[in-house]
Amino acid sequence: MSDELLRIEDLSIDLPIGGEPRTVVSELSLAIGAGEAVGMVGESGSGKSMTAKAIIGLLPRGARTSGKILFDGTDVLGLRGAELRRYRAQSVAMVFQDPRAAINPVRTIDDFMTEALRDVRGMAAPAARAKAVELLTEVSIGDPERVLTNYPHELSGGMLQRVMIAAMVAQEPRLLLADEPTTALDVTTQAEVITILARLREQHGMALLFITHDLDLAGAICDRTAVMYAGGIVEEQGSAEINEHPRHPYSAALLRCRPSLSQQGGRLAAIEGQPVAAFEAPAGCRFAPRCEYAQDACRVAVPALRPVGGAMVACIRAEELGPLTLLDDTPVAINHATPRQPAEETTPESAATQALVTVTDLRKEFALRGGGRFAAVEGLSFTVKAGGSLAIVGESGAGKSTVARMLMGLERPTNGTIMAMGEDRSGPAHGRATRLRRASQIQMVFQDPYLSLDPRQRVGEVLDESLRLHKRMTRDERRTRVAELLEVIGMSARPAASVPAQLSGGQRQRVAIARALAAEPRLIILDEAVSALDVSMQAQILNLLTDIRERTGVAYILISHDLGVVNYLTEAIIVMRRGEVVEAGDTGTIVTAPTEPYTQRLLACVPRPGWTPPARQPLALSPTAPSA
Amino acid sequence: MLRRLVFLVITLLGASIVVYGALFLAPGSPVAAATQGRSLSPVAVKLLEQQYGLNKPLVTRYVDWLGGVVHGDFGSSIVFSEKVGHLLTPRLAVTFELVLYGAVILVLFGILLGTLAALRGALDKLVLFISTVGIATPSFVGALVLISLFAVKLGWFPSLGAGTGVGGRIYHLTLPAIALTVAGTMGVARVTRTSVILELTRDHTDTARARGIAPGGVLRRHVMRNAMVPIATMSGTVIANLFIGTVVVETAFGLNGLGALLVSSVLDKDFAVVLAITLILATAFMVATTVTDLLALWLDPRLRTEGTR
Repeated sequence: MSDELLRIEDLSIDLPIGGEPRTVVSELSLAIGAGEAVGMVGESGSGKSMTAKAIIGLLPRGARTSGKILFDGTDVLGLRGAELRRYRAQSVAMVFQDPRAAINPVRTIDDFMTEALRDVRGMAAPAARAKAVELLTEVSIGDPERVLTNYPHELSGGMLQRVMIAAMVAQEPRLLLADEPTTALDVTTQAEVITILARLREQHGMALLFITHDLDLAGAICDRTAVMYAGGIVEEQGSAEINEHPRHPYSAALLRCRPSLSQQGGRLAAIEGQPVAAFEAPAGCRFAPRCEYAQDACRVAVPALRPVGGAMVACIRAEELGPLTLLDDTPVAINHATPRQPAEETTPESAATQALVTVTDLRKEFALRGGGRFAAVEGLSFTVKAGGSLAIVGESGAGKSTVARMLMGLERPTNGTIMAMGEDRSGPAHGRATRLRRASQIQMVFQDPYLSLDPRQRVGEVLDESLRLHKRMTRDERRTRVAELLEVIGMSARPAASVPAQLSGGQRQRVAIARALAAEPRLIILDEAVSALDVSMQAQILNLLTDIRERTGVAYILISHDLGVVNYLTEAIIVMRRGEVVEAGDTGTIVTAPTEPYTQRLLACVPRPGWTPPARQPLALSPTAPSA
Repeated sequence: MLRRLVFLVITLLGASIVVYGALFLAPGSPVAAATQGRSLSPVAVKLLEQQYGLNKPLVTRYVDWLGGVVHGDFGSSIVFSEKVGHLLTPRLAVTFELVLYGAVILVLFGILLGTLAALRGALDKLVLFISTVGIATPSFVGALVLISLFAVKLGWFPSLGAGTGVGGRIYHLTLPAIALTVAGTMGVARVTRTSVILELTRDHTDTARARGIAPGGVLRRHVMRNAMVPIATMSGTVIANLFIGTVVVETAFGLNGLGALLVSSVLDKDFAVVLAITLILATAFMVATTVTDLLALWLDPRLRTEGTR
C-alpha cells in the first residue's frame, strides 16, 4: 500500500502487574492507510486500549515493548522528548472514553480547546479562540462562545465528548485514535457523536482507529475491522463483511451472543467462560477454551494471522469452516418468556391478587439550588404482575433511577401511591420488621458490580449476611442454602471463600444476583445490571436471569438504555423522557412498531447489523435535565 | 460571608465562656500573683479584689467584661497593672510575624519537598523518612534541638529575643519559625506528594501529554494546578494551627509574643489578658480557615456550583 500511514509490526507490550512483567499485547501487526477508518473490537483484557496508548506513546510507566510502530516510516516507539512531542502535536490525537476524566475539571473549555494551539502551535490567543469557535460549530455545538466560558462540569457528557473531538481535530492530526468514545453515552448521544466523528474524518481527511466492544458500531463508521482477543488480532476484514460473514469463531460468537431487537426471550448464544488477557491465556490458540469449534490441534501453537478468502484470520480451521453463519444451531425458543400464568387463571379477582406492584400517578420533586422545584418523575402509573417483567427505558435524566429508588424505599414520592405485595409503600417504613419485610420482597442489582460488593467480604459471607437478615435459618441451613445459591449462579466450582478482587466483572454480577435471590424476593430491580459487562458476559448473565425467572417466578423491573437487552428480557415497557412517560405497552409491539417519534428516534439510534446513525433531528438534543 | 461572620461571633462567645469558666475553676488566685507572694492584710486583699471586681459573682464579672469588650475595652491586667490593649500591641506584632514567616517556610518547603518526592523516585523514600520524623517531633523538642545545634554549637542564629529592624527580626525569628513549622511543613509535603502523584496519572494529564504539550506546561497547568486544591486546604489548616503552636515556641525561644504571654497569664490567672489573647488567637484561626475555604473555592470551580448536579 503506497499511501500507508501507520504500520504496526509484531508489537508486544509487557506491563508490570503484581510486580512481574505480564504480556498484554502479543505480536500484533496492523496497517492503517491514510484517511482510512479501522475498527478495533474486543472485550476487556484484549489489549486494544494498550495498543492505542502505544501508538501515541502513553504506555504506563514500566511498560516494555518490542516490535515496531511505524508512522510514515518512523518508529514512534523510539521517539523521546521534543521529537515525541512534535509527533503528538502534529500527527496523532486521541479521544478518550470518559470525557469527564479526560478534560481538566478546573480549567475552562476555552483553556482546554486553545491550550495546544497556543502552546504548541504558537498561535495568538484571539486566533486560537477563533479556531476553537469554528471547530465547536463543526461538532454541532450551538452556542460556542458561551460554551467556551463554561467549566467541564457544567456540560453534559455528550457535549463534553464533542468538545473533546473538536479539540483533537483542531490539531489537524493525520490519525485520530478514539478509545471507546461513546461507551459512557446514551444511545442517542452515541449516534450523534458517531455521525460527527464520521463527518469530521471525511472533511479533514484523517485516518481513524476506532476502539469499541461493539462490532455493529465499528461497522457503522469503519472501512475495516480488526477483532482482538487476549492481546492479538484474530480476524481482520472489511467492516461490512465481518458483520455478515465472520470467519473467526470468536468474531462469530461475539455477533451471535448479543441480544437483538428481533429476539424476545429464549436463550442467547453465550460464549462460555471468561475473556482473558494474553498472559492468562493457555498455550496454543488463546480462544480455544471457549471455542465451540476447538480441536486438539488448536492447542498446539498460536495460529498466525493469514489470508483466508479475502480476510485475515488467525484460526487453523478457517478454510475448513468457511464464512460462519450468524444463526446458531441451537434452537431459539420463541417467546417462551411471555405470560407465565395460565390464561384461565386471569379472572378479575385473581388479576387483582396477581398485581405485585401497582404504581399510581407517581410524582417526585427535588428542590433546585437557588429556589424552585424540579419534577424528576411525573404522572407515572404502571403495574407489574407476579412473575412479570417491565422495562423502564430512556436517556439519562429521564427519571428511571428515581423510580427504582422510590420502589426500594430509598426516596419518598412527593405524590402518588406505590402498592407492593398488598402494602402501601408510599410512606416510610416504621420499625425493623416492616423495613426488613419490604427489603426482602424487593431486591436490587446495581450497575457496577465493582462498587456494589464490599471488597473485603467473601462471597460466602455476602450471601450468608443476606440470609441472616431475611431468613430464619440455622447455621447449617444457611450453609446449605449458600451452596445452592452458588449452584444457581453457576459458581459452585468457585470456593465461597473468594473475595471480589479475585472475580471478574461477570462473576461479581453473579454474586450480586445471588445476594438478591437469597432474600427470596418477589421482585428484583435490575438497574442497568448488565450495561457495564463485556458482551460475552452480558449474554451469560441474561441467560442466568431467564433461568432464575423460570425457576423462582420472580418478577423483574429492568432499567436500561439498551433496547436489545430490554426486548430480550421483558414483556412490558415504559419509555420515559424527562420524568414523563412517552409511550408504554407491550415490549415486542413497541420495539417493532413504535408510535411516538421519541421512541422511534431511540430505536433508530440502536446499533445493529448494517446500521448507520440516523440524521440529526431536533429531538436529538442532549438531555439537559439534571440527573437525580 | 454574613453567615461566616455570625459563626465567628458565636464561636468567640463560646470560647470566652469556656476560658472564663476554666480559669475560675482552676486553683490559685489572681491577687496572689499580683502581690508576688508577699502576704497582705485581709483589708488590702479586699481592696484589691474590689478594684478588679473579683468580689462579684462569676456571671456578673463575665457580663461586665463582655460589656467592656463590646466597647473595645478588654480590661486591665492585674499582674502588669496595665490596659490589656497597651500590653498586647507590641506582642501581637511578634506573634504575627512569626506565624507569617512560618507560613512562608511551610508553603515553600512543603510544596518543594513534596513535588520533588513525587517526581524523583530516588528522593521519594528520603522525603518520606524525613517527613515521618518531622511529623512525629513535638515542637518543643525541635526547638531544643535547633537551639543546641544552630545557636549554641554553630552560633549561626541567636537563641533568644525577637531582634530589631527588618533584618534583625528575620535573623532572630528564623529558628523559632523553623521549630514552629517542622511538623506542618512535612504534613504539607506529604499531601503535595500524594496529590502530585495522583494528578500525574489522571486521564486529563495524559490528554495534555498526548497533545504534545511540553513537560513544564503539563506540570504547571495540569498537575500542579489541580494538585493545588488539596495542597491549599492542607496548608491553610496547618497555618491556622501555627497560632496555637506559638504558645510553646515563643516560650522556648524567649520571644515576647502572645503565646508566651498566654502561658504566664494563665499561670497568674490574669483573666483579662488570657481572654483577650484567646479571642485574638481564635479570630486569627477562623480568619485563616475562612481564607483557606475561599482559596479552595477559587481554585476549584466545581465547588462553586456544588449541589446543582
